[in-house]
Amino acid sequence: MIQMFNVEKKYDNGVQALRGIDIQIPKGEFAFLVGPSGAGKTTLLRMVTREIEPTAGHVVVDGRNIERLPLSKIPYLRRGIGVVFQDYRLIRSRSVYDNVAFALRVIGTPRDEAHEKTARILDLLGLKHKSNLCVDELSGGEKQRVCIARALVNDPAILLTDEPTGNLDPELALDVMQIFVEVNNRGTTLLVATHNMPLVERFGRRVIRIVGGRVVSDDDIRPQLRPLYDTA
Amino acid sequence: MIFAQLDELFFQVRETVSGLRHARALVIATVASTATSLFVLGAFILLFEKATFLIDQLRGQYKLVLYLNSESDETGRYELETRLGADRDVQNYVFISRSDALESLLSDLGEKGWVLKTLETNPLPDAYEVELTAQARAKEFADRARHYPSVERISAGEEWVDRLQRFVWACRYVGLVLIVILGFASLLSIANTIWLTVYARRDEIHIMKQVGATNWFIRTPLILEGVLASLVGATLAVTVLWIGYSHVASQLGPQTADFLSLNPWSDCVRILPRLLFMGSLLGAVGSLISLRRIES
Repeated sequence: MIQMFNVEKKYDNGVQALRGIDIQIPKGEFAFLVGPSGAGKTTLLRMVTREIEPTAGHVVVDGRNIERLPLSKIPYLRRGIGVVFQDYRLIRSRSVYDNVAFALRVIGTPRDEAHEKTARILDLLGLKHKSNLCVDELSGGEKQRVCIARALVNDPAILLTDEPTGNLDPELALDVMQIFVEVNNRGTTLLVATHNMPLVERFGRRVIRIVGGRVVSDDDIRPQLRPLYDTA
Repeated sequence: MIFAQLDELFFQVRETVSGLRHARALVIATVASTATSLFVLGAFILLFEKATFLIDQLRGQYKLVLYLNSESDETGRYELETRLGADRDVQNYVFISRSDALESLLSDLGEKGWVLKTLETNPLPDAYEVELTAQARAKEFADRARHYPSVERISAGEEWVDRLQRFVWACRYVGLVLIVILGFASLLSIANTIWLTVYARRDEIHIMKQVGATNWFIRTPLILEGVLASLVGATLAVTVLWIGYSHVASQLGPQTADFLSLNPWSDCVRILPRLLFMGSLLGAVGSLISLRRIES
C-alpha cells in the first residue's frame, strides 16, 4: 500500500530530514512510527500525502509513484488518505457536524450523501449528541474524535496519524487507540507516528523506529509475525 | 449530473456568504480599501475626462482662416469648397463674406470702429473659416491650403495649433499611464487587504487541501468573496464621488458648471460600470494573488 525506496529528504535550509528510507507497508497493516522529536516522522507522513516531495528515491502509494503525479491529480490521491493531526486542525467557526461534513462537501459529495455519512461516523465515535456544538466547547478527547471522524468519513484506504494522543491523558489516549484498532480491523491501513512508547508496547504492532532520519529498526513486536519482517 | 453541479454551486455560494459573515472586520477592511482606491481612481478619471474635454473645446474654438484673393469669384469659391470638402484634415468650413467680416469687426470694435465707417470700399477680403479634425496637423494643412485655388494667405498660428494638439496627445498618454499606475496601486492595496482575509483562513485552506479539495474548489469562494467585497467598495466609491462632485459643482455655480460641462449624476452613472468592472477585476486578481502566496 505504501512503499518507500531509498527515500531522502533535504530541506532548503540544509536539514537532512530523511536518509535512505526503505519501507513497505502492506494493505491493512497497522504500524507505529516511533522516534524522538525531529527524527523525521512527520516528514515521512507528509511525503505519503505529497505535501512534500523527496529529494531522492521514490514513494509509491497504492501502486502509484506519487512524485510523478501531476498537480491536478494530487487532490484525488489525498481523498483516499485520512490524516489525524496532534493539534486537531479543526475549523473553530464551524460546528462538530460541519467540521466533519466539510471534508465530504469539498470533494463534491452530494448533500444528502454527506449528511448520511457524517451522521453515521459521528454516531460511531459517540459524537452524535454533540453535532451542533462548536468545537471550542469540546474537550481534548472529543476534539480528537472529531478529527478522527473527519479523517474517516470518506472511508479512506489509508489513515495517517501524527502524535494523535500527544495532547490526551492516558485514559483518553487508550480510547483513541482502540478506535484505531477498530478502524484497522475494517481493513484500513494505519500508520501512527508517536513517541508514546508505553502505548506502542501495549498494542503490540509493527514498530518502525526512526532516528536521525534513518530507519534503525523495523520489527513486529507481535512475536508470531516477527519472521515476516526479518530482513537479515 | 446537473443536480450535482447545482448542489456544488449552492455549496460554493453558501461558503462565500459564510466566509463573508465570519470575517466581517476583514471584509469591511477590503470594502474600505477598495472604496478608497476606486474613489481616487474614479476622481482622477473624471478629472482627466473633463480636462481633455476642455482642451478639445479650446482646440475646437481655434479655426484657421483662409483669406481669398480679390479676384476670386463664385467659380473660384466653388473650386475651393470642393478641395476643402475632399481634404481629410477638414472637419468643417464656413464662408465669411467681406461684408459679414466688416460687420463683425465693427461690432467688435464698437465706438472705435468709426474709422472703418469712413472708408469708401471694404478692405476686408472674403474668407473661409476652417475647423480641422482632431488628428490634423495644422501646419501641414496650411502648407497644402496655400496652393488651393483663390487662397491668398492663411492666418498665422497653425504652429500654435499643432503645439496644442501635441499637448492634448501628451495629456492623454500621461493620463492613461497615470490611470494604469493608479490601477496597480489599487490592486496592491486591495490584494494586501484580501491577503489578511485569506491568511486568517489558512488553516481552513490547509484542511481543504488535506482532504482532497481541488485548487479551484478552494479558490472559488475566496475569489467570490474578494469580488463581492470589491463590488460593494466600488459602489461606495461612486456614491461618495457623486456626493463630492455634486458639492463641488454647486460651489462653482451654474454658469461655471455649464461651461465646464459638469453633470454629477450622469457623469457618475457613466463611470459606474467601469468602476464596478475594475472593482470586481481587482477583487478577483487580489484574491488570486493572496491565494498563490498561501499555496506557495
